[in-house]
Amino acid sequence: MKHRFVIGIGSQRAGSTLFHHLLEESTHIFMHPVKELHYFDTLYGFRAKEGLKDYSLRQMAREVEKIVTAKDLSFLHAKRYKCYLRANKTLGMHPIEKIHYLDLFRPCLMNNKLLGEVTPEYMLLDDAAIIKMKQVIGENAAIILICRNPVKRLLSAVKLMNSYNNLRLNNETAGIWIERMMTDNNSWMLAQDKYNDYQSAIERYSRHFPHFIAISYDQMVTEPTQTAEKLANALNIQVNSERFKLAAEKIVNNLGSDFSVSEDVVEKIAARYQQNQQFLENFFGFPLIK
Amino acid sequence: MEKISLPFVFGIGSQRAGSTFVSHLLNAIPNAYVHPLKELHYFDTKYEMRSLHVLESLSKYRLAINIESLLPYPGQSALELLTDQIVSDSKFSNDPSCKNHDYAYHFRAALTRRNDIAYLCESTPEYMLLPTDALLEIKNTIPNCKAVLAVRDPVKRFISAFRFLAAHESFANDGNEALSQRAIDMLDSGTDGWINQQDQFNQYVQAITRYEQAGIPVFVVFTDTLQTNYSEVVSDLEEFLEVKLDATIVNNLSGKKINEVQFDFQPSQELLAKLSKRYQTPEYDMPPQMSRRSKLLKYLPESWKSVLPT
Repeated sequence: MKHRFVIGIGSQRAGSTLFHHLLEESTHIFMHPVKELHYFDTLYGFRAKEGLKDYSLRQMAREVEKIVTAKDLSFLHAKRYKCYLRANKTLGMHPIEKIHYLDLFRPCLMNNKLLGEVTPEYMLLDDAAIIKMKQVIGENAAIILICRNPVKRLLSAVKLMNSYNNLRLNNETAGIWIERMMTDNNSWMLAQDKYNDYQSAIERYSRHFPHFIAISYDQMVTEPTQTAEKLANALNIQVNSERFKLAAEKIVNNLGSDFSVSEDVVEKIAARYQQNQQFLENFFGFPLIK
Repeated sequence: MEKISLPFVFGIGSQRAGSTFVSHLLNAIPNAYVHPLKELHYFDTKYEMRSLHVLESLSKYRLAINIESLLPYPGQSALELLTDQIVSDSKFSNDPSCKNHDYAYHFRAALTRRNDIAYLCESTPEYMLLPTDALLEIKNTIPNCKAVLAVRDPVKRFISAFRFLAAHESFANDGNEALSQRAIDMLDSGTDGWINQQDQFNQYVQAITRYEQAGIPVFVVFTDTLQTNYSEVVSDLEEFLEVKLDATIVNNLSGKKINEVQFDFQPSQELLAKLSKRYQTPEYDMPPQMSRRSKLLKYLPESWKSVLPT
């Protein structure tokens, strides 16, 4: 295969946007301007097809509005921008079964041997889907999973939910809302359980991809240089550790602290994810940042 | 609805009567912005005279092609034409009914980018068929608008339209006789939607009357005789538009046949006779009604003049 893929597979709210940015800054990988392509999760039925279509068309419409209000169209000459616009067009206007994954990276294929993207939902693919994914991207692909303290990841997911759905949660209501979710075990909560099930994802992906690595969110943020070296060694890619470190200092996609929950609620979340926490501490060999 | 204050000219048809020639002629207006989608189909779709699904599917098709066309490095002017088409088609794809976005939207990108635009133009032959209510709304939105209508002998126009239809249908290779008979059968059926539309595209006077009732002045270009009095027509068009047209563009267009259908179909005498009879009645123009319009009379073909009341 002429090109090699480097794909971040999650977890959601575990620094995947930061990771996308770090790879862009510190490697020669062409990181897709549509950060989350959602190709494999949609193709293999882990996400609604209409959802991807609608989202991509909205993104495209947003770019068109940019063109409408532009005094200067020179930004349209940038290949990266063309790739962004075209990928949204392709994902929005064609059935996913008719789309070739590599084609989504056009017109940026010629000078980029390494192609990357980060879609957290890929973490949820089962073995059958991962096998099919491997047939598309090749066994040589580098796959990265970022693992974050399950409690902090869940709280970040709640903040995202609060922000996207205008739930207007505050210190008091956020705790009540989380407890209700945990009691109800509704689909959102069960999805969070899956995003915290690092062990299963690691086992599944490492079975099929020799260049798979799970890295610690805590280490990526506090010891970026070591993380960069670890990535370079495991994935067999060049990483500029100094640039990786500088970029890591800018935390991307931080939604801010619009609320904090009580210790009591934190303990209940920790109890739910006790096994997951234990797994991560054993796996990485150091305690998680609380 | 957002108003357009700049001078505006619509090419309003008629279909297969030289409307493409007229739209090319509008390019000769200095500092004009002629929308790069020759037929926007905004108003005819908005007023439910055309299926929104047609606009939607066509827009999506063009949108996909034009985004691909951005991939190589087009020159600046080509880039602007492409992006303006992308802007319109993207909006039509999302709102094909045209009920949730203003007509002005389709010109906003160009007006943002350029500060030298003095005239706006767009051509859609189906606008000829718009009812007076729609035209009143257009006049209210674009107070400084005018229209140019290409008029052609109704029989010749019909034959050209049928030739265009046949060229794109499965019966294209049936031969002159069978094609003529098919046209006759369609005319005789009395319920054929395509024939009904052709009748409307031949009702020039009714169209002009509706536009004038709405306060939108119409300039008529008789394409049958255009080549014999081209410079005179251009001069009158300049007076009508209150601009001096670009001589190079005007001269380059002289004698050109644009958008001709490359499909050989010679109508039978029976079909021609039927069409002549159909379109000689008062509701299809012409001569009697035309005689009351000196401006129109000036360019009237000799064959029509001969039947004018003295």
